[in-house]
Amino acid sequence: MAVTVGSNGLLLGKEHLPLLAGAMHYFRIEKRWWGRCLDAVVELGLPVVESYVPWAVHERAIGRFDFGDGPVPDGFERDLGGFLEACAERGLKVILRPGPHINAELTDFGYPARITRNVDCQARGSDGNPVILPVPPRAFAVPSYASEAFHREASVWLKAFGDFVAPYCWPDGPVVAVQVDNELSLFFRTGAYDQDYHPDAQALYRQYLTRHHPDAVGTDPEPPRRFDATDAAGLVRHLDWVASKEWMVVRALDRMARVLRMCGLDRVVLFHNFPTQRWGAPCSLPAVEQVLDLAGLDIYLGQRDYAAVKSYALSLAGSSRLPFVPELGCGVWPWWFPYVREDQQSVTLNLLMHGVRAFNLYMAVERDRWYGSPIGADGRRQGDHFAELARLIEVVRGTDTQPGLTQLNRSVAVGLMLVRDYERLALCSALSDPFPPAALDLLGVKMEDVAPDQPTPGLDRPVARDYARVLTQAAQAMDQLQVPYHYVDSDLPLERLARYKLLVVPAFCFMDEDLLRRLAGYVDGGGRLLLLPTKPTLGGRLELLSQPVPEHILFEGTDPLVTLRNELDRLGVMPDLTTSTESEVDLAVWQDAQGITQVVFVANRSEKACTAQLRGLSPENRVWDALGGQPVDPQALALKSFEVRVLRVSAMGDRPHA
Amino acid sequence: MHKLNPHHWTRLLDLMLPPVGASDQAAGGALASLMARTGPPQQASSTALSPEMPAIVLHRQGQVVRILRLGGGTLPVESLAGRPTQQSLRAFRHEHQLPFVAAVDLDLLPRLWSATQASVKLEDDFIAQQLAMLRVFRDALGKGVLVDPKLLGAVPIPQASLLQMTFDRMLPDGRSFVFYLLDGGAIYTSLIVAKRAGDIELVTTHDAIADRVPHLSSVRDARLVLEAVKERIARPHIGIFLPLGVWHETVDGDRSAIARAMATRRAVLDPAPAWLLAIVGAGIVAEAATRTGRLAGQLLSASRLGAQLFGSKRAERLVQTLSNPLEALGLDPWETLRWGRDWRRRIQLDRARLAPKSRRM
Repeated sequence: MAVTVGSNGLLLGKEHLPLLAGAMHYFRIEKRWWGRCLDAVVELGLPVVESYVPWAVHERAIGRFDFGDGPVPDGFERDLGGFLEACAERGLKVILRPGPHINAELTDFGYPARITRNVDCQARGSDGNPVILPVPPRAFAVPSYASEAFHREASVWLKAFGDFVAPYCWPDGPVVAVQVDNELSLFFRTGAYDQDYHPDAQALYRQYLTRHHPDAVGTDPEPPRRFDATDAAGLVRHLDWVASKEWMVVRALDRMARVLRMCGLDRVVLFHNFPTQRWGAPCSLPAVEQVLDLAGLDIYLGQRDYAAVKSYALSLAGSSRLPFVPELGCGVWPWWFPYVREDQQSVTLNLLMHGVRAFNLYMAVERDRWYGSPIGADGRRQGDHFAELARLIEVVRGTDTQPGLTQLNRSVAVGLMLVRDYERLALCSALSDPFPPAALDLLGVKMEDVAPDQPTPGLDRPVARDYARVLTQAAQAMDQLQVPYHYVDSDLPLERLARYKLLVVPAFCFMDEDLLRRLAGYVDGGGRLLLLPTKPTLGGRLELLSQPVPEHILFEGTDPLVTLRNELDRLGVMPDLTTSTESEVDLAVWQDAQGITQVVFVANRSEKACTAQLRGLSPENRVWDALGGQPVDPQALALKSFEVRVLRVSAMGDRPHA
Repeated sequence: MHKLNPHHWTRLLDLMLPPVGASDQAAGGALASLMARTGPPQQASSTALSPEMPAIVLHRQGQVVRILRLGGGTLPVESLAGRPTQQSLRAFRHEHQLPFVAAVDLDLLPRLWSATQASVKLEDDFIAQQLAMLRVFRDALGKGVLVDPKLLGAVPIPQASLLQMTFDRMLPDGRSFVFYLLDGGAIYTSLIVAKRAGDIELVTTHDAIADRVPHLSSVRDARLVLEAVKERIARPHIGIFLPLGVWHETVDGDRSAIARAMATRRAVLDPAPAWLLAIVGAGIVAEAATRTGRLAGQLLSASRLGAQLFGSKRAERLVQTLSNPLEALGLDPWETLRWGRDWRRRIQLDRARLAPKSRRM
């Protein structure tokens, strides 16, 4: 009996468990309030509670870990067993996140200080010095995910955690999932030449070349320290370096997961969460799902970030096994952007609208260095905020008479591909390196903004810049046509690509041969392939292609909108239900298992308030606001700035919610 | 109500932030609005930044290669020919009406990035670490990095120890700072800060004492707040209770607004250390020549603040003798406020000018 990942939640054997969780840090909440807090989580409608398990809190001495219920002179509760039993008593399932990296606004991100001060564990910059993360409450030297010393230390902690938690795992206990590490984006420092030059990381780079490209080993075994390519051969070296760091990330997660599995945690879901950044991601979701059960994205964005939230939801829907947000901002830490209740509701609806099926409200229960949660640290329900969230969760889960949002399906026929090779090229050639892409993303600087204008060394055009432009244009075209689409990662296996009728793939003079093989398989299986703007002639290592490019349509020189519309018409996937204000309003139709439309999301993409008119509804359809219950006129739907509304659709006289 | 969490993993911050009531919006949003001239907290955003964002000029080997407009987009590189100089950068900023612009030599960037990190001592607290990094950046000014206006060059970067000493003088350990803004007979927003062992230990709002003082319709009931804060958090060292309008007048540059409001019992400063009275009083003295200043002086003569400030023969002399901890940092709070206000207005003006003919690409 094991917990597995389903299409819209977890499966406990054959039993479905909605993966809707709320975070509560047992170690930060006085034990006397645990019961009240957990009761409030249940009352909120969440079936799962989540908590970090910090290494630094439980390690009393090197190799000696305390999970007991003794006194707490330092203010931290350690009785993890007591907490799990309290959860089980209330029927709550549990997600645990033992790190070793946990952040949680803890000093040193929850690592014992002896780890961050250990020079053998520290990641290295291109100058050989430790990599410093300057975040409150104190800047610290970040560990290297290649360091053997670090992995040895981490394994001791993970084994202690795994041994303790194994008896509490389902079906014997409430633990259904465990997160392996946390936001492994090299501490938000994914710039190509920012780090990791730890000796063990350099050894891994050479190991990567030996395994993947043995012909390249003898040429230059030293990793590049800045982008200095002048020709195709030089360019390959830089692409290898970025790819090797992605491999290092996946390998580190795999290594830590193996420790947990050996403790018996192979019967629960092991997953990972990445922070969001629109470019320069540390690796792909599908790559992580080759070594873990699931990978998700954490979201801490506001209502105004509508477009970004949408793109992340579409990426999760297209590229992960279960579109899951392991941390969905519910309140925020005090040194982040202000976050208000309207953000909470809007972002949650935006995510659900575009395909997210599971989330963890972080933090459902208040704690130090955090504000804006619906439940106080003493279990107090926070008035309107609590009531609003409870209502939202009720709509998400459904009732006896109404299917929940996560039980519905959205027909999406088009996949827009994020191509790893071009993403890597954008990262290593970015003008801003080594400044972190994540920080630039926060400042609104896009991949295209820092991509060189000159032709990529050894190639005929500035590929990184053009790739960014092509992606934007293709997405805009589909938004204009109101065609549902997902972002699909080029690391996805063929069977996951095959669910789309149409794949839109940015393509330039080079393309990874393995990807081409999968695309050929996709076309052989009946899929339609659109390449834009050109047909590749070289492989991923810039050698002549050893295989033909599969049958495709080329967008080059034509208006993408016209070409796309024609192709979608031919495939019969143009939407039946649309809105009048096509350029400013998004619409998402969700249907039940019988294909009957149950819910329509409508969203204003712009800052300007507008009125939308829904086209394609039957006159006998009645439309209601799913959250408020009030009737809505589908011919005059008022939308405020960046507002997302969720509407129930039913036949005349069948009111979904009063 | 939360207890004060006794654990100290770091000397800088160990914040306990209680929940924020539904009507108050998020604490961060409310606090961010304190400097806003009008209305409720503005929606902030992490990526969709406002058009008043600065520009960053990236150049290499004497050529501008990219001009980034933070918040999205670029500006044409042709608008800044050749290697940027202080003069050309200023002209560029004026031409594009940018609030701030920085130019960075891309060949220097990796070294600057390394030096910034190398400056950090892991055993220091966060403020000291930030100051060290700031010094590296300031040292790079003119050596591959240019900024306009020259903010960093104009403001001294204090030693962390001096900053700590000033902070300790302003708010002693084990004491709290209480700040309430009232509007329309209700709490608009509030801030309660407690300090221990040299650090801010708790930042909260009126929600932390909502069960004791759920409403506050008048500043005259400030003592109820102070008693609750004393009992539950820490003995108040500073208590400031203002109508929202008085706050707006103050941040708009009216130095005597608080004193006038105190005189008419619309505002309360209690408790108020001598340096705070000096700052408020200095506003009166500075404006003594004005009509409003004279009026405020007359009103103040009957007030507690007036008794403290004007009870002696020469108010100005008294004001001068009251020690202001900020002086050690070379900061005049009124001048700082004026500078901030002017800066904000300039940005707003730029935005208004830019709006009809934006050059963002």
